Amino acid sequence: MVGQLLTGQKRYLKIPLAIAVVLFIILLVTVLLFAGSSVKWMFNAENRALAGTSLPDYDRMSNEDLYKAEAESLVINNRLALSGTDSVYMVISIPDSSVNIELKGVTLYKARVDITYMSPVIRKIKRKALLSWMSVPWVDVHELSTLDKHPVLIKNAPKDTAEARKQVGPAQPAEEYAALLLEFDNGIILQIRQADSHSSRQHREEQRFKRSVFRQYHLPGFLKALTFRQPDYHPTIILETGRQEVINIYRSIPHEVKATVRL
Amino acid sequence: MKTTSLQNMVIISIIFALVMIWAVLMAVLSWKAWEIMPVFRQGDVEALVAGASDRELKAYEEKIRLKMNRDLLTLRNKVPGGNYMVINVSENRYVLYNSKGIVREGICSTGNQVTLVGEDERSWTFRTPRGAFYVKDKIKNPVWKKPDWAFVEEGLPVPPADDPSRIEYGVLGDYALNLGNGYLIHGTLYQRQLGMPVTHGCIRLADEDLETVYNHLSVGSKILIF
Repeated sequence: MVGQLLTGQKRYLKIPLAIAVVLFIILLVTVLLFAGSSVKWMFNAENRALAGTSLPDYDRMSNEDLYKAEAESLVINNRLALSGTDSVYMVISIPDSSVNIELKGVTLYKARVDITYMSPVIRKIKRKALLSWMSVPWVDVHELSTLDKHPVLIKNAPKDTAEARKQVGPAQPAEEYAALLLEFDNGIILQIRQADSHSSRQHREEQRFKRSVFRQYHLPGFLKALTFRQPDYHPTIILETGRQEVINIYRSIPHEVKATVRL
Repeated sequence: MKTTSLQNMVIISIIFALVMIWAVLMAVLSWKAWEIMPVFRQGDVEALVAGASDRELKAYEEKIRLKMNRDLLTLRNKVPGGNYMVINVSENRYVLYNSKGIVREGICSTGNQVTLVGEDERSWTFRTPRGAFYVKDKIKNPVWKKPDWAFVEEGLPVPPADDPSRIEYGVLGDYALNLGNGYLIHGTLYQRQLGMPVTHGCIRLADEDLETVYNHLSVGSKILIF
C-alpha cells in the first residue's frame, strides 16, 4: 500500500517519509553519541589514571583485600592532609554508606545514607582509576540545592518599644524539601536527597529540583548530540538520608568544599 | 475518490504515529544509552593481567597497612588532647568532650539568622559563626554591655558609648566563655527558648550545662562550630 502511495499519484507522501528518514538518522547519531560518551569518558579516565599512577606493573588490584587496604589508606592519607586546613571537609564512604563532616581531624557529624543510585561507569571502571580518584580530595566546582545556604530574615527596626514587644519570638523555619547536588572537579556528581515522607509542597519542590538538574546536566547533552557533538558525561551517585541530615550537611560545608571519597 | 483520500489520511496518520513512537523510543534509548553501555564491559579486565606472586602481594599489603596505621595515629593525634566542645548550629545542640569521649551533651541556642535594619540604614546580622575557635577568656558573673543593636531592636534611642544604661547585670548567667569578636558562650534568662535559634550570635546554654562547660574548658580549649 505504501509502495503504491509512493509510486502512484500521491507523490507528495514522499515528504513525510523523507522527514522520517532524516529524523531516524539524527536520532540514531544522537543515540550513538550518547552511548559513546560514557564509554569515551571511562576510557579517558582510565588512561589518565594509568598514566599518572605509580602502581607496579602487575595488577595487584585484582586482589580484593589489597584493594580495600589501599583504598582505606588513601582516604586516611587525604583526611590527614585535609585536617591541616582551616576548612570543614567531607568524608564519604560508599562501602560504609556514610557521610561524615570533619574539621581539624575531629568528626563533627555523622550521617547514615542509602546509596540509591550509582552510574554503572563507576562500577565498571578499572580499579586503578578508582584508586587514582581516591588518592586526591575531590573539589566541589558547582553546587545546587533546594536549601538556602545562609537563610536570613530581614527585619526592620521597630519605631518604639510597643512595636518591639509585638515582634518577640523566634522565626519559624520553612519545611522545604532538602536536596543538594555537588559537581566535583573530576566530573562526578553527588546528589544527597531527603528520603523522609514528603508534603505536597515538598513534592513540588522535589520535582522542581529534578527539573533543574535535568536542565543543567542532561538537556545540554541532548542539544549537543542533536548537533552531532559528543555530549558531556557526568557519572552520578545519589544518596538518600533524613531531611535534617541533608540540612546539617549542606549548611555545615563551605562553598568549594573538599571531599575524600571511598568507592 | 473520497474513500481513497480517507485511506491515505489513515495511512499517513499511522506512519506519523509510528515515527513518533519510534522517536520517543530512540530518545529514551539515548537517555539510557550512556548509562547502559559500560555495563557491557566483559569481566574484570584487570584480572587478566599477569599477577604477582602471593608473597609479593602479601608484602605489599603489609606495607600499605603499616602506612595506614601510621597515618591513622597521626590523624588521631590531631584531635584535641584536652577537653573541647562541638556545637551544631543547624540543630542547636552541643557536645562536650574530654580525651575519653563525651562528657555532656544537650541543647543550646544559636544565632537567629535575622538581619536587623535600623532607621539610619545600619544593619546587623545575628548569625553564629562556623569554624574552629578557642576559648580566649573565662568570666565569672559576666556583665553585659549592650551594643547599639540591642537598643535599635527594642525601638529605643541609642545612648552614648559610655552611658550607664548600656550595663545589664545577671542576663548572661553565672559564667561566660569568650570566643572573640564579641561572641560568647553564656547563660540565659529565657531557658524555654533553648534548642531554638534565638540569639544574636552568641551561644546560650542552660545553667547546669554552662557550669559543666565552664569547669571543663580552659583558656585555649577548642570550640568547633558547624
